[in-house]
Amino acid sequence: MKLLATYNFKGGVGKTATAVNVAYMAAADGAPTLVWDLDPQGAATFTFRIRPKVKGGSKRVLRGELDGAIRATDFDGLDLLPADFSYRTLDVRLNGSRDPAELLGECLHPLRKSYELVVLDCAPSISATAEGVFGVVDALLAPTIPTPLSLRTLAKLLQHLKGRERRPLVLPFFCMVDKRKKLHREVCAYARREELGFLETEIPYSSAVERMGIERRPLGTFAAGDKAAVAYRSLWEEIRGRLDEAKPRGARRKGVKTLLASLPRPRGH
Amino acid sequence: MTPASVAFLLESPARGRAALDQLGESLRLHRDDRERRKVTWFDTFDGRLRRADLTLGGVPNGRAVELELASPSGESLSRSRAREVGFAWDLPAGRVRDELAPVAKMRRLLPLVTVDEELTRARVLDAEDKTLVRLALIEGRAGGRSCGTVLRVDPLRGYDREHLAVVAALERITACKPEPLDLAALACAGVGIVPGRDPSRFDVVLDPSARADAAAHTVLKHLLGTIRANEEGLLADTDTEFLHDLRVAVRRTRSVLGELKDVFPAREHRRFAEGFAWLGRQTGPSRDLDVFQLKLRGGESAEPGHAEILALVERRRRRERSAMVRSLRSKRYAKLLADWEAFLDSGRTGDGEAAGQTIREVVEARVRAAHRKLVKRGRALGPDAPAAKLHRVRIQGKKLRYLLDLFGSVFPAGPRKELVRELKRLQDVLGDMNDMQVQESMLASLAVDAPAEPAAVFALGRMAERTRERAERARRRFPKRFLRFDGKKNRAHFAELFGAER
Ligand SMILES: Nc1ncnc2c1ncn2[C@@H]1O[C@H](COP(=O)(O)OP(=O)(O)O)[C@@H](O)[C@H]1O
Ligand SMILES: [Mg+2]
Repeated sequence: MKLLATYNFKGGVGKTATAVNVAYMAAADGAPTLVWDLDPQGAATFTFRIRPKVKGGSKRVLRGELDGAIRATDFDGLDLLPADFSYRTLDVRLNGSRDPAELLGECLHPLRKSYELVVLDCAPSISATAEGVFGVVDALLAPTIPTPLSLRTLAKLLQHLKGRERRPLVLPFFCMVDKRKKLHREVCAYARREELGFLETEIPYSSAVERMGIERRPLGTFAAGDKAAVAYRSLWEEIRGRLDEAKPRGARRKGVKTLLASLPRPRGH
Repeated sequence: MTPASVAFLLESPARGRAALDQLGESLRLHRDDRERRKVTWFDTFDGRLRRADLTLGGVPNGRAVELELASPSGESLSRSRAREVGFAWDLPAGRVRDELAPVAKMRRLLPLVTVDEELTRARVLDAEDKTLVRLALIEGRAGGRSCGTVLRVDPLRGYDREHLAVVAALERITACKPEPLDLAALACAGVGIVPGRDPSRFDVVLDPSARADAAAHTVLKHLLGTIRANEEGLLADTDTEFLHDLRVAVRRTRSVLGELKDVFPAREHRRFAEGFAWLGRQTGPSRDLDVFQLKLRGGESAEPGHAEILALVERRRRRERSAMVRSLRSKRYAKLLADWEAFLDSGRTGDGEAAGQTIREVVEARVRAAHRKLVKRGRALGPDAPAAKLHRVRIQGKKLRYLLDLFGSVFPAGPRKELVRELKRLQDVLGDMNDMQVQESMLASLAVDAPAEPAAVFALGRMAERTRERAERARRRFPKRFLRFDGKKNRAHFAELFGAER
């Protein structure tokens, strides 16, 4: 079982759209997949038309009793662990634990029998939950809008993770890319030139993705031919390839350095 | 745990459609258009999947087949898309292959039955249009006959209560009881196949008080059936086990002829004993190569020379096979089996004393004798015993094993099973040694073919070395195994075997 999370410090960058569509593509590819909606906002849960309710809430979740809370989506091989309002207290509970990553790892462990892939859709915050996720996943998928500001946000994430014992593989990729915009073209070109380690696949801006909020299902089920749907499929294939590599490559060290150089030095240095 | 799918077996498709209509009156029900599809159910010749509680269904999609591995009750375990269905190891990497490979092993996945389905899918929805329960109305036809109309109700994880409610509603509507779903079994029943049956399994139960000659005939007829059942797959080279099972049946036949010599007329006995010995010889070399090839397949494919050896073996195997196939298509073979069948049907027996005794008496005497000889030979051997002597112990062990396998039903089951288990452990050590020896000579003879390919020559040398080491290890295990076999506990099993009537 592989564990992925979509993560970014910022909201509204396409984390949920990515979690839902990548998970859908993985399931369609034959890998039994679970999406865990960790964002109390419950956008992924909403997309699958499932009630945002986990009996017993975060308490039960942390006792490792995920089984009873899992719901089948309408799509073969794709299940959801819904969001719950009480996830706000998940942080408090994880904060109080000796090691949030270990605790999360323990409650995910029983899922190994049933799933080949688990995708965690995270809230855009630095929290004990996020720290737990960083320590437990195989890879962090970091959707990044091609703007300098977003690159800085990514750099901050890499900096935040630097020097950790259990550092996840960070797989940044561009999304909501609008090639009509000069800025988008330039930032994408810059990232390739500097070999920042972005995935090859770029998710284009597409109104079909916005329509997911109305359709309430993955892109592949109502707009399979849409350019964003096609891009999500190749994104999944690329991720799968990376996860299968013996020593997967993520965001590049050199790239990280370049990015970090563009950041103001933390005080005290 | 998600509850299992259930099926309502209805008398007609119209009844099914009416039931869906009625269900739609009280629930939000979405019905898809009717579709047609062909479902092929696969299993190995010996029903391994079914016996492991698996079903494999395939639906063609363009040039590929969409495969679904499921429990008999329809719980989906994994899916895959394959170009064709053959050996598990040739399937695309993924869960289906991972789950099938250890079950099917070297047996080919064969189509059992193909069903033409007319399928109407339906879904029970909530107010948000989320699917809560899935239904499917299936009208199947196989081999020109209807497999009945099935209304299946599939639960979705996390929606157990909704599933129960729909099942209860359908129970009222159809006035039928829900049954465990088993589409594969329904399809097989339609064409007269018993799923999970192994045609090579020996399961004859004898009446201990039956006359020895009659009992021997019963056993031999069954074995002849096994030989016949495996001919076709052997000739078509479907997989290696047809030859294996046919050879086992031949060896067992020879063993009966050998052990119960007295119950046959002398002339026929000689003739058929010779005939089946001939058949054993015709099929031996091919089997040895099969074994070797299977072993290679399971081994280190990355080793230098591996591919060359495989090619050598394949070439040799093809040669041996065509010789074997010629023998099996020969008049001699046809006549041997036809005469044998006629002989068994005629019920002619020998006039020896044994023919009229009960099978229990005769077998008991044979088992005692075989055991005595085995123990005597085994005790005489130390850790440095020469291979030839160990070989003789092995042969004696085999005789005993065949007696217990074929006629064991005249003894009480408890001690017999214990004995067979201990005997099997002993035979495993000896068998390992023997396999190694066969392999060693095989390697030597392959090396003669190999000079053109230096990589193969080296690889063969390395393999021969490892083979010798393994044989040596097996040999060293023998004394301990034998002590155990010859131990107090096991001798007690023997006493029990003969002590009580079944
Ligand atoms: N590739 C895209 N093209 C157009 N709109 C997108 C795209 N990706 C996401 N969006 C839209 O942006 C908004 C935020 O996306 P979402 O996936 O919810 O972000 P996050 O989970 O990071 O908050 C949503 O309205 C979504 O429909
Ligand atoms: Mg989100």
